Amino acid sequence: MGAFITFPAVLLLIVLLAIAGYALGRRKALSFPAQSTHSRPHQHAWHVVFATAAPSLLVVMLWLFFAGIASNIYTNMVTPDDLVDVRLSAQAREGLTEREIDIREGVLRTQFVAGVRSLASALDGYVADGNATEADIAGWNAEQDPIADRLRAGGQVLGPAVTNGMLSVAQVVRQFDRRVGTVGPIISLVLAIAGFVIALRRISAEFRARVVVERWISGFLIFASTMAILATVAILAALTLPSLSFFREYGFFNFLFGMAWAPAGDVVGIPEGRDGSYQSALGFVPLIWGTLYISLVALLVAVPLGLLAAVYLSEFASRRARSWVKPALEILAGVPTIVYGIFALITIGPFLQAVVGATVMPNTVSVMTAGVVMGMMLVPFISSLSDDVINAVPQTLRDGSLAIGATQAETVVQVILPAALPGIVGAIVLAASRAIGETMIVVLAAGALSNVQGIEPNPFGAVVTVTTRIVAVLTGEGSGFDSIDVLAVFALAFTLFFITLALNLLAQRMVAKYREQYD
Amino acid sequence: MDDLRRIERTTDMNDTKISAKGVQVYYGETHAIKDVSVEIGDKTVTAFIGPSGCGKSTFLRCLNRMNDTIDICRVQGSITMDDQDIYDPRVDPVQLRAKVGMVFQKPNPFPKSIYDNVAYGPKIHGLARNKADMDGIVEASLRRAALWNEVKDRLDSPGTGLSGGQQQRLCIARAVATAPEVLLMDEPCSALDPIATAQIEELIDELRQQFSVVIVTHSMQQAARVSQKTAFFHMGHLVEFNDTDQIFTNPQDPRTESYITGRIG
Repeated sequence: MGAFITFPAVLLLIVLLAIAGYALGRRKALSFPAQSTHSRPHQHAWHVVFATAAPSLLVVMLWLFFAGIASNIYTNMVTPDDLVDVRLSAQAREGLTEREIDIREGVLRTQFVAGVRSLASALDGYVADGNATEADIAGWNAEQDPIADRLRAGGQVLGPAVTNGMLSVAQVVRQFDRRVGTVGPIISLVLAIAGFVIALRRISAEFRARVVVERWISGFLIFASTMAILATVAILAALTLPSLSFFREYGFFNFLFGMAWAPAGDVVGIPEGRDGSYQSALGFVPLIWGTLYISLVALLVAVPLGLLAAVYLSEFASRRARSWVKPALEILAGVPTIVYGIFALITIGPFLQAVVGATVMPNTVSVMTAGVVMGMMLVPFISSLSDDVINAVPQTLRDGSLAIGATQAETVVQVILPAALPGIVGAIVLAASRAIGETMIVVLAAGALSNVQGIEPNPFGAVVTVTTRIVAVLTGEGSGFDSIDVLAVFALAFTLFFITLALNLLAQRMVAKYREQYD
Repeated sequence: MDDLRRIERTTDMNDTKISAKGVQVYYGETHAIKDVSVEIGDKTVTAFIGPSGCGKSTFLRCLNRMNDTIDICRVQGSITMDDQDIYDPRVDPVQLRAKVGMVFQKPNPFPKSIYDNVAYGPKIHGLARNKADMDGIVEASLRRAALWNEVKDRLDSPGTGLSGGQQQRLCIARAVATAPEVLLMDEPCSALDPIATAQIEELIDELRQQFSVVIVTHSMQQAARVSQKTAFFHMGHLVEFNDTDQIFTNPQDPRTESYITGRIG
């Protein structure tokens, strides 16, 4: 019985019930005389569909979402404090204060929990594929059997090593997951059936299905918009916890004002330095310097070009020219950034090197290479946003200026641009936040040093950016997920998220301020 | 009393300022103005009345060549100002517009300070040699627009912060600052409340001392109150053009009579 009540099966049942509900609801509504009913038959039918499907599907979603969190918490709860996996060895404890030990053991615990969870799902998959029975697994011993290799051979994904401690906790967790995984579908199925029966029984000539359906729809719309917000919250949550543990480990100010970036692959919780510090240097300054430097060059290219293009398009271009230029600019906006990166690497870089000479520009990758190409990428972005803003300046202002005897250029400079300024600044800020978060161009064209000291003032020198280091650490061979460097990357992403968030909020406020003036 | 005013009117209407002959205007395929000829006197208020879409605003915009800014618009016929053809290729519309000021339906102050709004035209046309000159022009223009006393203490605050009626008077000050000879007004009161309207109408009557004023209006009462000459437009035709009191008391054309008595409109 338990094997059949899985989420896919229940989903199918809910859909079938909803379809049946539509047919039955419609038939029942049609049996009333047309004049005496408040709502149309299809509204009664939809009422049944919503009552059947909406609450049950919501439960399915919430269940899938929270089951993982609950399982995580449960794993943490059933992990014994004295388990050797989550204790620092006596050797490692030497010379550390109580607080430092706590921090490091906390990190070990987080890793252990993650390892257990991946082991548990690997075991589930292994059994489901028929590679072993539950009884087989119960007899496994991590010290004798190559469990990790066995599971990987069976096509499962899991962390580096499996210990007996992990195995025993994983078995407990699997039982919990199984129970949770059965209760959820049952609840949603019961809800679907209940909704189906109640909704069908409520249908009568006087029943106001139209109002009810309208309410369902508005609820549905609210739900959809909430999901987008929840996604942001989820991203933030996913970044926050690892970032916070990184800040605790490495020190917030060491990170924020550190002048060197040189990940050495230290294992979390076990500093290698003499004074209990990490050998990895994980300073933010050289990375944000590279990011901001390239963004500045990009904006210096993009803002004048984009703005002038927008002014031309909205004020000077004939209808024919506009119908050609605007789509051409929009094609530029649709080019994938990796293509821009290739262009920067094989065309712009060598060209710049040929122009300024190899003494000033030792590599073809540099701030200018990436910045100029990123600027090209941003031109359509700025021009199209500014074009909208300029077009929104009321025609009466143009007429007023022209009627005084101003030329078109005088009108643009003295009346239209000042009127559109807040919106244009908003567009520039949005472009800046895109430049800061841009990845592919800088990965290819900015430089790929793995060890950076201080800041690079030369615009033709290679730099690293926040995004390129995230890519390098996460795709690099050297660092596993137990290294402090990976945690640092979360902190980078976290910081980047906040910088772009702040810029976007700023842009929104500016655009809003602009709108107030002319509505 | 009435007779006295009539005498005053006739003595005022000595010279012709603008003379239009056989003007045709096309918007693409649409024939918007059909063979309109009219003489606009100096130091006179001339009102253009007629139902919506009759072409009165279009014709008004011919007088300072604002129609040039619309790609699909073509103007034929002759319009002269002081016997100079304003559509002559040698005439720069930019200079023409300094001599023919315009006030629009909706108050459209620039997003600048009150001072800069008024100084905008003089600055562009280089009418002031120094700051003191400019201050003088701004003050004189604001006085002429009967706005000086209300704004003299806050010339640096934004023009958009004024009330609707004040904004419209600011636009009038802006228009008179370039020392125009003709002032075109395109329904200048249609966005204003009755009190602001009364102020503007009073102002128009004063402006007549210095300028030739042409006003487009929807309100026949307004035309009767402020103008000496009235032109009635209907479907692109100039139906009737005469002294204002003649138009309203003794219309010659049956269409004019229907319009002023409210039967068409």
